[in-house]
Amino acid sequence: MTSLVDLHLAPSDLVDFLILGIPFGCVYALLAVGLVLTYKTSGVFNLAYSAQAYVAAAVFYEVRANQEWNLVLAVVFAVFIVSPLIGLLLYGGLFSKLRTAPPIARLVTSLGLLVAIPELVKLWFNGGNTAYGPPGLVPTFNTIRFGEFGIDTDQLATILATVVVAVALTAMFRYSGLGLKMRAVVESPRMAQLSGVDADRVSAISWALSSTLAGLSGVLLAPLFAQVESMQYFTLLVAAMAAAAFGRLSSIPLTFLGGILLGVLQQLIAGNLPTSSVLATGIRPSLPFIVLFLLLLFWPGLRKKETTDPLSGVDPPPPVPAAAIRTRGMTVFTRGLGVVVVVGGVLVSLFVLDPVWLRNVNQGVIIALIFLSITVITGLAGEISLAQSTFAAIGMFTAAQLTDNWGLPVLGTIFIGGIVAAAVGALLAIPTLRLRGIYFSLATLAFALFFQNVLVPQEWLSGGNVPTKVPRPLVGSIDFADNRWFLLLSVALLALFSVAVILIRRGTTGQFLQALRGSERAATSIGITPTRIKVMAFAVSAGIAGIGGGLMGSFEGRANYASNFDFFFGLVWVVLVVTLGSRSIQAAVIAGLSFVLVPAILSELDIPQAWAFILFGVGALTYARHPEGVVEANTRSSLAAIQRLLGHREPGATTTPQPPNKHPSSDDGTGGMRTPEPTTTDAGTVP
Amino acid sequence: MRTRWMALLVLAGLGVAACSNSPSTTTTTAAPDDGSDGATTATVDPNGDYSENVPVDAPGVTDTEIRVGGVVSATNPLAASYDDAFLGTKAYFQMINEDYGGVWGRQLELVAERDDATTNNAREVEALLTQDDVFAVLPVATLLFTGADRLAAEGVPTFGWNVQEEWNGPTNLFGTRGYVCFTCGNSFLPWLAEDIGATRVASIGYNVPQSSECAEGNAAGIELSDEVELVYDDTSLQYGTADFSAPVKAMKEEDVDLVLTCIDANAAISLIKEMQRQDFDASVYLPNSYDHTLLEEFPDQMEGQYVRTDFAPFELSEKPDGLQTYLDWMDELGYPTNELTVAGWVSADMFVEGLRGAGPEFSREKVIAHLNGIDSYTAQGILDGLDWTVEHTDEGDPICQIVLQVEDNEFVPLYQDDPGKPWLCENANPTTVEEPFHQ
Repeated sequence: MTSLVDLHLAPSDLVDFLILGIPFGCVYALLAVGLVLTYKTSGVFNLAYSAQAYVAAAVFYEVRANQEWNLVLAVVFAVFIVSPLIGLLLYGGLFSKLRTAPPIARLVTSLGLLVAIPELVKLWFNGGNTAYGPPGLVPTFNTIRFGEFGIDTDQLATILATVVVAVALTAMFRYSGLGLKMRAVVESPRMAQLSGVDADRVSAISWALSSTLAGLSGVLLAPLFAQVESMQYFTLLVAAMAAAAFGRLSSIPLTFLGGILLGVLQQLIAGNLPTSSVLATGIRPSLPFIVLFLLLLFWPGLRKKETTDPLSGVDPPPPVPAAAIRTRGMTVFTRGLGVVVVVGGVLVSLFVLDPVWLRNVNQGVIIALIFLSITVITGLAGEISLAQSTFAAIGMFTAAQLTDNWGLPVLGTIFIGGIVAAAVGALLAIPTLRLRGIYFSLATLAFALFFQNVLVPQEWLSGGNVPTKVPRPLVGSIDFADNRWFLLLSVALLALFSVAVILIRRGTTGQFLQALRGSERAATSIGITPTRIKVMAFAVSAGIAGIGGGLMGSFEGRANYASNFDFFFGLVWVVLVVTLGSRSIQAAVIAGLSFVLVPAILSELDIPQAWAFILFGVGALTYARHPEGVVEANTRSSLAAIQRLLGHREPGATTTPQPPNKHPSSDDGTGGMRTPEPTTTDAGTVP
Repeated sequence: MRTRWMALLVLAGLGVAACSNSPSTTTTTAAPDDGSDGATTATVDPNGDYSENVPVDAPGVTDTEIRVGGVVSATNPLAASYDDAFLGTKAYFQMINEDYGGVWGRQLELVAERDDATTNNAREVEALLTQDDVFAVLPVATLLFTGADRLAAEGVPTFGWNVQEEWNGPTNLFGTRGYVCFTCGNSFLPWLAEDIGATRVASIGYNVPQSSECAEGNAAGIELSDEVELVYDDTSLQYGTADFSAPVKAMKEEDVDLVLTCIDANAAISLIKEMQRQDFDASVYLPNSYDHTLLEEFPDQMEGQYVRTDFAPFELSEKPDGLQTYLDWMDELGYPTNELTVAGWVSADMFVEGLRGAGPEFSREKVIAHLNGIDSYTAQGILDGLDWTVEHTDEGDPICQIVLQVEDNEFVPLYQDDPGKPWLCENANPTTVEEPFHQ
């Protein structure tokens, strides 16, 4: 049995690992090159790239396996017709409107697509049946032998395609006018246009090209698996992100090299760690995420600030927040109405709803509490964290273990869980908050994946096969085993933390965060310590999520990670909250309730559950029109309409519709989804 | 600001000091007393008269029908057809209603077919209990079973495809596979290895609990043998991986001749493809791959490999009555024959057995009590014989299976030299490798 770590590798071993690592290294490289191409030519870190690959694989399967088309015809259709059309559709319908938006805004939109596209495809693909035996680009499966090893024809096709793509793209960027124009358009479409470049046309070509590459990857990599399934592509893509990071999201040759190195490193680790040791079970599955995390922190090429459009300052001013156009009377009225709605909603839930809907509302309230954590980290601090479900899970596991092993009162352990989550959040924030924009988001994603792959399987944390039990609280004679009492507890905690978030927003911390979002340099010059404030915000955010997680565990009776806090939920949550309005508590509450109630309503109507994710994902497409969030936009228009009806308005307030907000500033209600501090000079910004 | 935070902490501290845990959720959830008196009972005569219709006051029961509802993970990340379990139940109910006029003068109706979308199991279970007004819950075929505690606490007769340990314990949860224990070692695997001439064995699984515990059980079984050695044991694979090159290289270097897997069928295909690339010729034991679609799509990879079933496979030359009836009805209705439809069919059969045994004045408690008195439930030969007097806990019911090998693109049942006794069984908790007995 392999039991010892043998790091003294003979040359033959190294050659073996190289041979074994190259085929899968090329898989990573192919996907990573596609990611870099998209980022480099469109400025979008396109998490939906895997979804585009999946579409092509599904189309290819349909026409080749089901319709039995000729191979060449099937490839041409899936890769060179459908795929570029999808790219053009995405650009024309969506990303063209976000061309000058900050990268993080485009990241959220791509997250929405990642959620929606696979579910849309599944509605028609293969009649809903398992799509076994995906056909490859090579008609017959043969193995070409190299001594003891062999490479099959599908792998060979992948290796050749990866090399050709890497060389061709490198040449295009280095030697062709189109490559230069693509980079110029990403840097500043307006500057490019001033120089006579048709920015629209160039961007459209970029999207068609990157989507074609996604399609090629989808078809090439399909035979890796026994069936065509979207999650497999996303799993590969997140691993490939490490290679893209190695290439600094800009260098095709380095990205290619990064993919190969990752493939070889995986073989080295797998071949030299004792296979069932804690070390191996921890490191092997999470290697790409550890590498990604370390690269983000220490790879010099990634520490530069994101480039922004030097002409971004010519954007029109953002719309006025809804709160600013309210008269005093209207403020009193809307707040009163809010109280009536909440109290009425709670009363209806308690006395009218049946047990199922009472349960749904309860869960929705708890999720809304967790969503407040996104309001803090995104709405106040202006960062996108993709690890909020992880912090919720930390809170839940802490509460579960403390009640199960130590017999502590669950209500106390829920708060302790929040403190533990906050501490983990602070520890994570210290190294990561110096990263900007999408790099910070990717670091949180790497952390979430590490947690899921390494820590969640541990029995001491999650309970292993059967989740650990978490009891309901008992306070005096009030037994929260009754869902009605539990709803009151959940609502009370939601109200408590909503007030806390409002206080933070209005207080010194909130003002500091706002100042930092305006201009970090200016804020620093007046004595604000960015790291301290942001670490605090991140810790508070993680703590709120942790408390929500503990509460969820108690509500469900067990620490169910897979059904509540899988990392993918964290991605959907961000999409939902940002779509509805990341700065608005009202939006967080609506988002939380929607997350639970929409699938429940669909279930009642016998509509496939897939539509819930489609709706959530498609919701992100409204981001182009309403970067401040749908709830905020609707509130503003409703208030304007009411005030028009009443025939008066406050001095200085405006009800005039504003042009689409392409470049919101810190007060725009977008939750900080704005351009980071310009890299050139503050003088470029509009006063 | 600090004062506010201090006040908040003090308030929280006061709250914590005043509270404890609800007793209704701190004790181990178990079903109410199953009502059995400890004596064993035989299964009822399937051709008996069960037409007597007397008024019954029970949830989901009217003078003309008995309503049940099920929940499956129709929407799941594996793209597996768990909703086929509904077809099995519907087919069985159709047979009972058409051929026997229902049970106790009432038609059996599957009134709710719920999809828990993998993550909403507890909610859908709640809906079954409070919205759908069902007498029993069947079939259950889900990836997660977070509604188990609720079903156990309510004492609702529940039947389904049990691939989670939540089924163990509560006496009202009846899984078609009986008691499940992933970590339990059994002597069958080392016996099989010895029988096919394998001496150097490998075990692989993912780093997720269910898979790694299964691999742990395999390893424990091999430890029982003096002739078979476990030379490679790997539970560090990422769930969903398609890259098996390093494990295959290591197994090849260790001269492994039998690979025991605790991975899903998709990954098993990737594993075998990698073995073919590296020209590594060992047999593979695939406990989860009795899947005819998989065989049809990957004949080159499946050829020569071993699979197992805990129900009578369709290829048996002497088909038990229950299996033949199942196959006939599936054929008549155009439904697929697979593990999930079998699970739905057996769930329905078990329910009907309980219902008939409970008598015309049946109740949930009586159904549960009748089933828990049966010491050999076989679904007319589809199962080896579940002893429900001990099956809810690990108290020594023999473990039986049928092993098949793929030969010329077909599953061929092995060890069928004792007519009418297709099962290979071993006693629970073995300490040495024993020759399995036929049943």
